[in-house]
Amino acid sequence: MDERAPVENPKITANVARFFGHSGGAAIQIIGILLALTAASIALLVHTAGVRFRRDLARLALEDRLEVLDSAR
Amino acid sequence: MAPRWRELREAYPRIVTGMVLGIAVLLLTDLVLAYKRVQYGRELARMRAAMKETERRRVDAIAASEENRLAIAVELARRQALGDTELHLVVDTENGLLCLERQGARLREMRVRLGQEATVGTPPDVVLLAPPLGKRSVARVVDGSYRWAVPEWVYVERGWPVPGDRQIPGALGPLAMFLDSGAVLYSRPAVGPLSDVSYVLPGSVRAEAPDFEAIRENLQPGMAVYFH
Repeated sequence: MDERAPVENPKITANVARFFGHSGGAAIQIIGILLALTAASIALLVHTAGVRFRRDLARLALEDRLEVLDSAR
Repeated sequence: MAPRWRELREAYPRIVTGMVLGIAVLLLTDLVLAYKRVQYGRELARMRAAMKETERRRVDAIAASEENRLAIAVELARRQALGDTELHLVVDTENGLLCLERQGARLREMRVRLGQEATVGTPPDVVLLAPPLGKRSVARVVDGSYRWAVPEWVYVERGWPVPGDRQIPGALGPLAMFLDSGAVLYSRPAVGPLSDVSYVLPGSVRAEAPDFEAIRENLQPGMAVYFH
């Protein structure tokens, strides 16, 4: 079987290293901000969806229509 | 080593611009989500305040166990609407849209305003009116000559004096539909306590009169109305 070792493109590797090593860590900081904001957005989305779910449930309860849930069985 | 932002921007202008745009989009998304979170929280608080202790406990118990099932149920209602071969109405409560559809084909779309939840009546006989969810049907279609007995609480809520005769012709606009749940889909009237542009009957839906007029011939008792 012809097994070949993955070939690294030295140009890409050098470019990535230069980007991250550039400007005293500014690149790492901006990526950190992006990742933190993405995590915060996901957490907020999940939390908001939970509150919306409880609102919908309360609406059904007040309408006395909790049998709607049975339709999902 | 202090980060040198200007240097990075000059060396990689497209990458940095893309990242800054990404940050702006994420911040904007967070703002929208935070706004919706506050909105849902307020609605939830109002509804819970109108519930009895036993109802609150029941809802909490269901909330702890059935989150997925409600999501499925709402999705089912949406899909049910998509598969409905008869002409029907769909109310998108999230985006304030009323659509005339058949088997997923959107024949007409109109902007509507949904009435906020409100607790009406005098204690202990209070009722919370909230927009419906799931499938409903049209019980009755009425026109501008219909003498609607405007409920007393509407006057009270509006701060208007309650008249002796509360039956007003055209108080629900030129065209209105009563649903089997008691909710009303109406167009803005020229007379009565619902004529104020800023006021929408709690738990009901208000459309513009020309939009309703355009689909008038299609509105029949028994027609399905899906709320999601």
